[in-house]
Amino acid sequence: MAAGLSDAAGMSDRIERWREAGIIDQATAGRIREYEAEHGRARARQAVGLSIAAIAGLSVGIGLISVAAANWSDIPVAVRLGADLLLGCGLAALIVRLDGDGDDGGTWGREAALVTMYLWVLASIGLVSQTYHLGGLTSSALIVWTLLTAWQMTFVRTRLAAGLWLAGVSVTWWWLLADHAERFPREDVAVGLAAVPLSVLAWVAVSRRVRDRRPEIADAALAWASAGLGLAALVAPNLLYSEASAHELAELWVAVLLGVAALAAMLPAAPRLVMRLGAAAGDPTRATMMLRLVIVETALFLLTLLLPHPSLDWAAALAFVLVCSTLAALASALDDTRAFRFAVLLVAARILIAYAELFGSLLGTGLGLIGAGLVAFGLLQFWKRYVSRFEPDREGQS
Amino acid sequence: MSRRVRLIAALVIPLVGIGALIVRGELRSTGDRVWRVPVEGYDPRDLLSGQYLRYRYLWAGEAVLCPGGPPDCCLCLSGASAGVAATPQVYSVDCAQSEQTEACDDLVRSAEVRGPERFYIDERYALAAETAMRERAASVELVVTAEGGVAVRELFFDGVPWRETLVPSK
Repeated sequence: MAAGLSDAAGMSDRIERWREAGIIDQATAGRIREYEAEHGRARARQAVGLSIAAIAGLSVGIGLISVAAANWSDIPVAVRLGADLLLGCGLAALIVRLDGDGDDGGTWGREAALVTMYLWVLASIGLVSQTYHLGGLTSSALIVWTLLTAWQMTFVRTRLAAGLWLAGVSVTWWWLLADHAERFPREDVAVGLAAVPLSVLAWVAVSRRVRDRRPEIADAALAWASAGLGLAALVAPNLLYSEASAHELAELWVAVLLGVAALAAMLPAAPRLVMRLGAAAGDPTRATMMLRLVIVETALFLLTLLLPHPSLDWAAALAFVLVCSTLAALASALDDTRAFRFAVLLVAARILIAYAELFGSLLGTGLGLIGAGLVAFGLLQFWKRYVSRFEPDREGQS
Repeated sequence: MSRRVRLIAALVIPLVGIGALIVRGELRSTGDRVWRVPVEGYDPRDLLSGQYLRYRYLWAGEAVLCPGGPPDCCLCLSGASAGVAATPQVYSVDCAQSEQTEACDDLVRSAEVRGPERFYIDERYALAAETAMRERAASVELVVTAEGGVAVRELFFDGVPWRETLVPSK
């Protein structure tokens, strides 16, 4: 619902800007508002319903896994496995039945059943493993799960369910690397390959084929890729705190280069990524430049792991502020008020922490905090200038 | 292919897959020659991990998992007796050398039993099983699969199936 309200506020803001710029007249602005008021609420209601359905399916599915994990030895094997298969058949029949039902309830029910069946497969693999005391690697079970459910999960209709599926695929990949790390010539190869889902998800997000056929999956991939890149960007500057010897770092260089390669693979997708992120309402050229800058900064800070260095507290703090500032500029170019505010908040918080962190004496800390306060006031002025663009014109709305 | 048919096909795949896993589990567990192999807890500090016991085999005989032996190493199990679960005599052989393997009743690929192994336990019996594993003589009944793996059928404490000798916690 929050997303729906935010969308509505953003739309109202844009309509006002278009009207002020003379792109649309007052009458057209009024008609667009009426249309959005009529249809936006229905869309928001459906989105909330679908999300609740996906969460309900997730809850039932996790419950099934938990019940299977209890390993009920009192129930004969044939009954246990037969009941499990029967449950799977029932879920499949329910999905098929609800698929033809066009109303909201049918769609929500189908979504919940699809998510439940997704997790039922995992629970069943666990149940069979328990029943026959199959050893083996966890990654083998996860691969079977991912393969058996791949086609089925392309039928989901919510970003939440699609995101759950993409998370499942990513976890399978990471577990596979962890289980087979010692098979690589160097174990850090597995660490580096763990970054592959980041670039794969970015390319899934911008794939025209995926977007046309399964927009929910493209949206979910975009959300995961953005979150992954954002997390990597915020973590990378902190690598400057590391105080590793040349010998220790020599064991990491393949992982670092693979991580950088995964980031570099996102660069060509940047223009389409910013369009998917909604840059049409902002400044696509600047957003593309800022996104590329975020990727390059993250890669550069990752590369510092290849050079033995002492713990660089100052540099780590400055690097973090630099990355957050770039993220703020990206959010501004994308016309994303919430992300912009969050990034500016991170910059302010990091500056305050840096003062407390870097000055040991009371005098130093006091002066540092005064300086931080002044910087924060400066940021406030900067914020006001930027954020004023996002605030709706109350007079124009009345 | 209509959307409905594609949806049905997509839903049948996991059902068939789970069914196939069950059939595979059943086929692995069937076998004429049943072995009884002593086991011990893998980690005396924490035998119980989740709802399964961790253990390793105590093979009788040479009892080696081919340290420095042939790269394609198998455990040769001999001493089977019809209709009774026998404790095997074990020595290591090269899986590919038929003159070494022809005297064996069963061949187990050493990589399959390098351990630690798992035995899943009902959560109500978990703590009792952990204690029994530490204090009593434990063994498992198993059959050897066609691929050289093992399929464990049952866990015993002092020769008694665990269900008959353990008391569930309240």
